[in-house]
Amino acid sequence: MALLPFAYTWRNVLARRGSTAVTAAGVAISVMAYVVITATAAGISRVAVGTGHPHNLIVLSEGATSAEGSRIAPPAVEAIRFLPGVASDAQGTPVASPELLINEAIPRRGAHKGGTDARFTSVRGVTPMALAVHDGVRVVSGRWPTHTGEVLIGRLLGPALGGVGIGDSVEFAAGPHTVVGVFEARGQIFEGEVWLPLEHLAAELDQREVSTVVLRVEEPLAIPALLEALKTSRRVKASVRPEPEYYAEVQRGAVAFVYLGNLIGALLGLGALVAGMNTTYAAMARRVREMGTLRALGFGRRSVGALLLVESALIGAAGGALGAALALAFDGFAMNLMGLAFELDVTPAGLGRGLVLALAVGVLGALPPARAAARLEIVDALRRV
Amino acid sequence: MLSRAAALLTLALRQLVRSPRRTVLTFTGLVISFFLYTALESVLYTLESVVDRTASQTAIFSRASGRGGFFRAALPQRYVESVRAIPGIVAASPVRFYFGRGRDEGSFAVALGVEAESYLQVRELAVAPAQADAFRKDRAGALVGRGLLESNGWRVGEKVTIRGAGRLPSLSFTIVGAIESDDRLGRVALVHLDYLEDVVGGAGRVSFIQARVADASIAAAAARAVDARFASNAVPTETTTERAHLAMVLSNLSGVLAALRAVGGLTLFITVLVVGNSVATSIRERTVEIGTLRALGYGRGRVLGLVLAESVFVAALGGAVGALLAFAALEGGVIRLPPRIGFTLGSDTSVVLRAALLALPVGLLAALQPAWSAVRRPIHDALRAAD
Repeated sequence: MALLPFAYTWRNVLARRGSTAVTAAGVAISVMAYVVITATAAGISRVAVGTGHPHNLIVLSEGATSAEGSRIAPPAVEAIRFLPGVASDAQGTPVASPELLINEAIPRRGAHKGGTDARFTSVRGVTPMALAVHDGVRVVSGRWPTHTGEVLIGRLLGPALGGVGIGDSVEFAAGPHTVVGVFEARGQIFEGEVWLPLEHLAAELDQREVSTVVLRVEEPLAIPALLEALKTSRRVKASVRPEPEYYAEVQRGAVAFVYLGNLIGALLGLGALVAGMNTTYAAMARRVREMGTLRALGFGRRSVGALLLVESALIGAAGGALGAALALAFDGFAMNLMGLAFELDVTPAGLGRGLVLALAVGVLGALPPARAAARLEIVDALRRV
Repeated sequence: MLSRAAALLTLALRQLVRSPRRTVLTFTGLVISFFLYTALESVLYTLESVVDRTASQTAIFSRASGRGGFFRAALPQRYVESVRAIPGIVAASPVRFYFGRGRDEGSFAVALGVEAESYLQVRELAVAPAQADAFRKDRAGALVGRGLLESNGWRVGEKVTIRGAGRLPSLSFTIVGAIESDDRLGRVALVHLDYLEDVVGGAGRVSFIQARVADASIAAAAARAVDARFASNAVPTETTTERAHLAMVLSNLSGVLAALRAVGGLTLFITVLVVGNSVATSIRERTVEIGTLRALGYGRGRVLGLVLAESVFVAALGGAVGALLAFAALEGGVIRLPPRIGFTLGSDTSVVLRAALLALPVGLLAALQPAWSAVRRPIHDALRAAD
């Protein structure tokens, strides 16, 4: 099968600029919407998968399935800290982080407490040991809170609350707190949280118990012994889970977006496909004589049919590339959903699938007209005006 | 006037039938676009109307200020007497949360400990009067929401036990009635507060106080009055109206809502472009014809009207069908979120109507430019296009 020169195809695509542009635009928008929604799901998954250290264990009170529902009393905290297998730092102190976690609706910048413009936020009371237990957490601007009423906010929380930064006030629990520092946490869920000293939060809430103790073990082989010690302990009644496993559940939120992305992408793609088919049929009808001439010159049926296919595929690819480029502009965009702060993650896989969508729309949309073109009889074609 | 419109429509129809493939494809494209647009608008409508549809306009609730978290029993129960005394408040009941373990891993079975008599005055419960009476009389009795009954396979009359979450003890009660509502109350069990306190201890403190105001217009003022009353107490209160609370919860979804709107807008934009392209193609093929019509004496306006009528007709039909299909798909549950999300999608006739009507300007806008440029072409120019 002699293929028509690419230049010929390319010039044809450029000839009907209006129709080409519209079809390409349709494909571009489908791809962009699909990739961006997929990036939302990917962003949520990335937080779920990236949070937690493989050597960390989260200790919750017995029967509790989440930190918010867990209560561990101070004596038990001590017993947990000294369980066998827990790593120690240079001073011999166990690398164990007791944490008090509450969920508050914090008013956004400029809004007042009790109003309708607030964001659900996790507030975590921690000790300095939290920096050792949670890998990758570091204060990037400002300082660790020292006085009562001072807090740290995660990198992604500031934008979520409408642009809150160092010196601004966030309101929760006993009242307004001043932001004295911002921390980052390498993409972990903590980047959407407020952190403050455990004893300050406990005093505000008038509560002695903590929500969890996060332990760093020397190495995973020590875990069975640790669990055994916990089971036989009379002082502590607790359940333990690996930290990454605990946060993996956050992924549930991504499911809805995967579904939404597929649905919207498919519908928009279908619409673009139908529009493309319309355009291609029109192109075929317009160039019947041209195709007849090509056939008379010796090009086979399939070459002529392929002509339309390749042109349509090119338009699809161009639209796909445009859509992908537009979607890339959204990469890293900070989003906040029901208390979960994350960034859109435009992955190569997502872009790839978007481009596949574009090509599919281009090729499938041209299939029926291409087949019709291939079936043309030379005589009929040349006779047509 | 009507007969002219009818004539125009007939001509338009005949025109469309001349190129059936193009008409069908354009129509199909329109159905798909308006299906998507209507579906998106429906989701937006369902979410944004949640406040109006499910929030009680006269409900306010107070919790202990600054004690962190909504569920802790930190509010002194005795406050309820003072709350009742506040002008505008019709009834008030203390409420205490109890979290039990649900059937699925990680899910909760929630029970609310309430003062039976006053709670029944605070909330209009969808409960049979005989069952409400039984609840009043049986201290260990419970009114259970329909959703909770079904998900646990319980029946009215049964005595059941919920295992407590965390270190909470188990809670047993006899189901004396069902709450037939599909909102939040449909998924909880109502038990007697004093009975609950016997089981879990910590008497004297509750999670919040729920009150009903005489009229929706004074809800916000009443909420402020409650907070003012306890402002200088050791445990001050924080009171919100149920409307405001739900609106706040909804604002946490603002990112998603904005995205849905954006996709909807893009869909319409693309539809205009695509239909315009189709019209332009159709007109290009009829250049000679249009020229002939004009040579015969038909004015620009009439020829323009003819072309526009075709476009508007296809758009209107495609838009209506697409919108109706979306309505059917959403209401019929063909499109639904994964069950874990626990939120039901639906639609409303107002959304469908608005979307279908939008098809008219879309059809008009799309055809405007190509039709006008065709009609503007000098007659001799158009006729020359005939080879």
